Amino acid sequence: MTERIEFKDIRHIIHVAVILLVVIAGFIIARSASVPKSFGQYGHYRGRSIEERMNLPVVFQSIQTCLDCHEEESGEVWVGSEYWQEGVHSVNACENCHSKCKEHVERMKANPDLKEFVITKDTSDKLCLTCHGILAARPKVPEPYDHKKHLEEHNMKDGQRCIECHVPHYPAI
Amino acid sequence: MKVSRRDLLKRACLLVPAGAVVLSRRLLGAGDKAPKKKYSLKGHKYTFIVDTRKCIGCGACVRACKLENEVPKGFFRTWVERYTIGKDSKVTVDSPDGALHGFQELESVPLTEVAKAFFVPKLCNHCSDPPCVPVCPVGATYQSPDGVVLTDPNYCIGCAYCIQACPYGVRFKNPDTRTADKCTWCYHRITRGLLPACVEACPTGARQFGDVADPDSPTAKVLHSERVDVLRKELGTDPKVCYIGLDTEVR
Repeated sequence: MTERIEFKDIRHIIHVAVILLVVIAGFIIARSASVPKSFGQYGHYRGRSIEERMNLPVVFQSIQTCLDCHEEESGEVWVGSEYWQEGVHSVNACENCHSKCKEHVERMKANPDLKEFVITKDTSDKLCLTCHGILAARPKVPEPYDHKKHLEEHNMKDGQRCIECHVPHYPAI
Repeated sequence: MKVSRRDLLKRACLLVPAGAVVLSRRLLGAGDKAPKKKYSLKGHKYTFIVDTRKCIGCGACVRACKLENEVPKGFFRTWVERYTIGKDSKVTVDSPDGALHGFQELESVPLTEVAKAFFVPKLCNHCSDPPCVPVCPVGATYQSPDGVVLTDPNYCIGCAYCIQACPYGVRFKNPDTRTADKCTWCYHRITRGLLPACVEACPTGARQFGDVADPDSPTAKVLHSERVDVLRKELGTDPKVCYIGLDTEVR
């Protein structure tokens, strides 16, 4: 003889089902609250992160940015001049020798009459020699120089600085 | 005021085209302003080429990267290594302060004992199959649809699994944000059509960057004319940084 299932027995199953449903609903609510909206837009990551990365500010300026304003300036070996274009340093980024230009560019674009805002430049022999000094691992282009020997060859006194003979915008001089 | 049926119809007829003009301007954006070209995430195949034969070890790239990305002191998104192979075949690898201030002559190996020496710039390889991505437990490091491996500092929990997973050691934990950090190929620059800061700064053209999806791009031409190799090919990570003039000693 089989036992009949009464309604009071089914109540236990309903209890379990309700608890399970509450747990599932709670999980869904907690998940939607904690997982960012754009998660999964492109893959298993926050899609908005791509946009955030894209919108970071550009700091290091291209040579063209400097040329946009300085091409018209006077001076034979100024940036943008024929001399500069011919010279080997026309491929050298401005900020490799001059200080950070970002604020200068922003401030001057906002107010072109601003006179006092000048960027600095590094004219030390040490900076010249980070590219032009002799090292065993250094390729022969550009030609590396032993500063001391170079001065002796040109009958210069010891301690003569690079920029006393060379113009950084047109170093062949 | 009494409005005749004729007047009402007249006014209505005038209102309709006026409303259409206003609406169309709003929908199409400001009339005379040129629409800004939006960057598409699809159809790119970025490649970075390092010509080690041209690298002079000046460290301009490292300084530019530091400036661009505010990399904390003592950490590097890109750096330059020097390989010095002695006449006794002993290999010395050094990178003083990541080449931030360039190099001085190596004291431990006298010049007369050097068989060959060269510089190798290093950066994230942006692997096509990046080992750092699947290990992230929260999805804070990922490969963007245009193939650049990025980190999400706002979502990273700083567990550093990715730092251990990278076979090239290009990742580090940023002490300021306490999250994983690495080279992004200056994602904010390349998506604006600019070059990465290190490429912009390199005075000898040892670093080149471009989209080889365009077969006429200078980078594609270099890639298809020079003999290139990648670092640690045996790992199957399929790096997108290609090297010209690699030596067997370079790992």
